Amino acid sequence: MMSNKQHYALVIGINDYPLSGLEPLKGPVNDANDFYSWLCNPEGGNLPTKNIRRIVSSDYPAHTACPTPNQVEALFEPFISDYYDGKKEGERLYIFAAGHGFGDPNDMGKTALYAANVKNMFPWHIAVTEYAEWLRRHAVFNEIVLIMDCCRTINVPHQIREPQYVTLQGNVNADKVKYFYAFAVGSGRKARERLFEDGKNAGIFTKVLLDALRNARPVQGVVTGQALKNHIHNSISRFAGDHEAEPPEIRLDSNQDISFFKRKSAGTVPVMVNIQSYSDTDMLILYDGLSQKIRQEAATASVMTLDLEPGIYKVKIGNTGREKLFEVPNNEQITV
Amino acid sequence: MSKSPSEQIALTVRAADNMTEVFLADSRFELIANGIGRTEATVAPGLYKARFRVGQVQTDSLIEVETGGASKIFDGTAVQFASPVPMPQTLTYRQAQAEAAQQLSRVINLKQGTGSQLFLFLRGLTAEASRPWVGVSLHDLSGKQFAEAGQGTCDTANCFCGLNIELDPGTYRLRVEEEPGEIYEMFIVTLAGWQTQVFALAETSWQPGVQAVRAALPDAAVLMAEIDKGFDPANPAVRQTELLRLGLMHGRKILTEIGLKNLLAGTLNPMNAVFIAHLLARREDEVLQALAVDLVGHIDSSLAAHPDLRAALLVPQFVTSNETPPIFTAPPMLNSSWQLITQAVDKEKAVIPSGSLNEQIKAGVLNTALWLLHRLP
Repeated sequence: MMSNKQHYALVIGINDYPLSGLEPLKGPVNDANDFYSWLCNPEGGNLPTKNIRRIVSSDYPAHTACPTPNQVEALFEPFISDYYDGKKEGERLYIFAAGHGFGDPNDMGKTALYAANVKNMFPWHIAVTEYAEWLRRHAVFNEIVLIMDCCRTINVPHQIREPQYVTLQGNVNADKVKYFYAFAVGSGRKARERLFEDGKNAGIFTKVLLDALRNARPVQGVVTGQALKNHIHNSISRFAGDHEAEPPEIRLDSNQDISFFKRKSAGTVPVMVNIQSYSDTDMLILYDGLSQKIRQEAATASVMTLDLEPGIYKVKIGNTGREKLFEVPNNEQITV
Repeated sequence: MSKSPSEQIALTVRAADNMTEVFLADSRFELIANGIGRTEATVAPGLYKARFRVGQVQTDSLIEVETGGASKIFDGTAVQFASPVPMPQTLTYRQAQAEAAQQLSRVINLKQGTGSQLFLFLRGLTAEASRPWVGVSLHDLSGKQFAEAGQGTCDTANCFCGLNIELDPGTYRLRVEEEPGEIYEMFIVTLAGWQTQVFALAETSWQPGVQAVRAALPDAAVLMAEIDKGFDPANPAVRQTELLRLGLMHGRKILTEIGLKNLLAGTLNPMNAVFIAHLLARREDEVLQALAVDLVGHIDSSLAAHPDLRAALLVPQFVTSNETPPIFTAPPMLNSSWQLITQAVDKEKAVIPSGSLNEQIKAGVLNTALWLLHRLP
C-alpha cells in the first residue's frame, strides 16, 4: 500500500513539569507514542515516518524541564516558513498534543499545552490552537486534524499568548480547509488519564480516539470525521473506568467533512456472553439493529464470545424467555 | 408476527425533566431525532439508543421497537448529575447534608440588616473536604468583611457548614482564599422578601498547581426561595433551577416554548428569571423572542432592580423603553451579564461609573466561568 506522502504530523507528549506545582502525569508520553504508532501503521494513518515530527518529555532527562516552548514550536516553524516562501505544504496535517493544558480566561476557543518548564509565575506554554488556526487561516494544508488530550481549566493569571509568527493576510482558500478539532473535554473542564487493562497509563480520550480510528463504522465505505465523532461519543463511557465520562468537544464542518480513510466495514469487537443457569440444550439467538435474526446456534458453553461490529444487538436464549439488548463496543461482557 | 418491510412506528422518547436534552440514534449510532424534554420519530421496528443529557452528563438507554404496534413511548430515568445542592437524584446527594441544609436555612445565625436573607451552605464529599468553610468569607460591596463561613453551624463529621444571615437587599461579595494571596470573589444579590441560597462543594482547587481543598466558586449553585420557605431538597423547583444553571453554564439550548410557559406559570422565581433571561438572550429564534417579551411582563419592580436582569434587558430580544443608558455600579452575579454590560458600555448604551466597583474589577475578571468571578489584585 502506498503511504500518504502528503500527510504530515506533529506529535507532542509531556509528562513531567519539575519546576511547577503541577503533578507529573503518566499518560501523555504513552499517548503520543500510541498515536505515533497509529500514524505509522499502514492500516492506520499510513504516513511515512519522515513526515512525522515527534517530541516527548521522555526524550530528555527529567530534571532538565524539557521540552520548552521553543523546542516544541520549532516543529511548527517549517510549515510557517514554507508558506511564507510560497510553498504549498501538503494535503493533511495531524497535530496531536497531550499533557497538562489550560484554557484562555478570555476566549473559550483557545487551548494551550503547558511546556515542561512551566512555573506558576511564568506559565510557559505552547498555544496549540493558535498554531492550528494560523495554518488553517493560511490554507497551508487542505485538512487539519487537531487532537488535544489535556485539561482546559482556567487559571486567570495564565493567558494564552499568540505565538511570535509573522502577521500575514489570510489565504482566500481558508474557508475550504477541512478541519477536525477534537478536545478531550469541553472548555473549563479537566481531562483524565488512568491505568488501563494492558498495564499502561493513558489518557481516556486518546484511548477512545484510537479506538474510533481503528473501529469506527464507515458510511458507504468511508470513515468520516462525523463517523469518528459518533463513535467517540458513543463509546467514551466504556473507556472511562471509574471516572465520570465527560463528553469530549469535537468541532467539524459537516458540509465539508474530512474523509479519513476508506474501509469496507467496521472493525469487530469480541463480546463475551455469559449464559445464566446454562444448559447444553440452550439455543443462542442474535438479532441485529433491524431486529433481523443474524445468528442462531446451540450454546456450547456457559460463556460464548461473539465478534461483532459496532451497533446495537439483542441476544436471546431460546425457550427461556431471557433476552438482553446490548451495544458494541460499550458492552464487552453481558449476562443473559 | 412477521415484519412488514414498510412498517413504521411512532416512537416517543421522554426525559424525566422537561429541560433534559434527548437524542435518538439508530442501531448504527446515527442521530435520527433530538429534542428537549422529549423527542419523536417515525421508525422501523428495530433497536435504538436514547441519550439523555444534562450539562456535561449523559446517560444512555437501549430501546427495542417491536413489530405490530402503531406507537411506542419510552420514558427515561432522571439524569444523575453532580450538583453543589444536596438534592436527591444527583451524584453528589448526601442525606445528612440535605437535612442539615433544610434545617439551617430556617434559622438566622447573624443579623446584618433586614428584608432579605443570604444562606450559605458549603459541603464536602470526602474526608479531605471535611472543613469546607476554610478560607470563605462574606463582604459588603466596599469589601468590608461581615462574616466568615465558619461562624455558621459547622460539622466536620458530615463535611458541611451552614450560615444564614439576614441583611438588607443588595449585592454582596463571597470570597474564597485558595491559598495565601490567591483570592477570588463572586457576587451575590439578595432581594426583598427572598432568601438567596448559595451552595458550593469543597474540592481540590480548580486552579492548576494549587493543592488546597476549597469551596469551588466556578461550579457554585445559587437558588432563591421565598423568605419563610427555606431550602427544601425535595422541591422539584430546586432541580429545575439547577437544570437552568447547567444549561446556561454549558451553553445548551434547553428552553422550549412549552418549557418556558411552564416556568413562567405562577410566582416567578427570581433566580429562574435570571437564568431564563440569559438563556433567551443567546437565542435568535422568533418564537423564543416572543416569549422573551412575555418574560419581561412577568418581572415586577423589585425584580427589575436585579443587576443580572437589567443586564439581560440590554439585548435586543427584550424590548425596553429605556431612553437613558442604565448605570451599573454593583457587579452582577453572572459572567454573561458582565459581558453584556461591558459591550453596552462600549456602545454607550450603558454606564459604569468611574471609581465604582465595576470599574475596579475589570482587570481581574475570569471571563469563561458561569459566574462573574474576579481575582483580587
